[in-house]
Amino acid sequence: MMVTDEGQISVDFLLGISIFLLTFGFVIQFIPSLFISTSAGGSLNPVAYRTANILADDPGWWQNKTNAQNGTDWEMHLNDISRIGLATDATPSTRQTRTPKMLNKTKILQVLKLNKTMLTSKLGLYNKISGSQVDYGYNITLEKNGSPMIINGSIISFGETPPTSQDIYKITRQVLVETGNIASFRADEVTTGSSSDKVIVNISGPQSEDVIIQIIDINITNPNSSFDNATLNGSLNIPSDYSVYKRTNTSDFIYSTTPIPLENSTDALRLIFNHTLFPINTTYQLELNFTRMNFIQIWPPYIEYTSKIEPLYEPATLIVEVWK
Amino acid sequence: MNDKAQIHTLEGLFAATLMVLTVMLITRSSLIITPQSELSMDVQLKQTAEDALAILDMAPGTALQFNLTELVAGGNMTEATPQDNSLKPLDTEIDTQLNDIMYNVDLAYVENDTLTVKHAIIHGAPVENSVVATRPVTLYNSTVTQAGGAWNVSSNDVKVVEVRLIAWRV
Repeated sequence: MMVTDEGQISVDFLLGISIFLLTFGFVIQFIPSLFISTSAGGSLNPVAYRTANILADDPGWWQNKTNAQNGTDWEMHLNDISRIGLATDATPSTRQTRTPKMLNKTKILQVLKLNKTMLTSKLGLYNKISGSQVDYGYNITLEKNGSPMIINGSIISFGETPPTSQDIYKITRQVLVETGNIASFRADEVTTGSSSDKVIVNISGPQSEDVIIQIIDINITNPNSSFDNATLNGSLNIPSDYSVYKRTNTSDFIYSTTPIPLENSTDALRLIFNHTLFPINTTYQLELNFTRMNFIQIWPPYIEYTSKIEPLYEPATLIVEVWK
Repeated sequence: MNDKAQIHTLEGLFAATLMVLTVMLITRSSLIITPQSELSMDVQLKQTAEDALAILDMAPGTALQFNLTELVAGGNMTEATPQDNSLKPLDTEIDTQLNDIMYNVDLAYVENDTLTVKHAIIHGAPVENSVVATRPVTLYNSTVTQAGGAWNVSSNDVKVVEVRLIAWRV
């Protein structure tokens, strides 16, 4: 029998091509795994980011197709909401706001009234998987100094309690939150009563929100000056009706008990009066009693609380947590 | 046994070595590797830094004692050192906004037709994936005088200063 080598693949070539193909195969399947990120599979980070951004930077939008009306003041049109945003907007007819990151109190309180279905759909916190809607779990909270904020008696938090055994995607934003109204007076523009260490402010009732009065730029001439107490229409308030906070050049406003010594011209006082003190439609006369102070303006008419009223914003943290 | 011309085996080995080397080269250059978790941390950090500056800039007088313009205007124009920064009130305000985040603050402005960058607050050396948030403020002669700063702005002029907040996590 004749033995021939023809038609046989050479061992050398077989070995060479095997080594090449094995390595080539390895490289082909290795390269794509380089680009796969660890949490790309269904990460909700973009969802949390988007939700936080819209809430903090956008005033929201409503529109009614039948009478062709729209605007950013969705808090007045809860049945026609297109998008929920919390930023304050002075011009509701235009889409943009000049005050992003400044959250409006009415909008915040209205969000708390919305039901879960509405919130989920208007915030876009769901996914469509083969035609059926899968809702994400979420918790949105406004925090100040690590604890949830309370505005008009409501804890500002909506959604569910985050589960402990699941991945939670979280975004925090620093914002300014409107918590009430404040009137800030310079010491040289307040009116005084019979003596120059008694400040009188007129407050017209009824007041539905706590009355906050701030006195800044206090010119202190005597080292033993102090703020002693406040009286309303001549009678003394019980201390639980109001609280006093003092700011110095080293600290922000901190709760203080009267009498509060005033030592420095950079000291400022903030007095918070419960709104239940001003229940009826009349003018209340608030007297602030100081010791060894020299306020300048004396004569009536007394300065009006409402003449200097403006929204009070406080720095806070908006926390958006989303999970599946 | 036919043992002539082993060249095909060697070719295969060469090709394999080349491919493995190439893959190694790619994996070692860190450019390619972008894990999603780290990316979202950067996004959060940048967002927090930008929020902090924006809030300082926009806050009305009743929310914060001084806004960003007033805080910058009060600078004494000395170059900061890690021990002593030239904008202590700004440092206090940013510190309350950015708890457990490290940061430096630089001020960039044009003086005598050249861009000057001055360190205002130094808390350390920024790490590799630090983020920068910027916010311009406009200083007038009156704002500087009122804040007691040492900026040289004439009464018919304005100075635009870019506040650069460099933030990182440790």
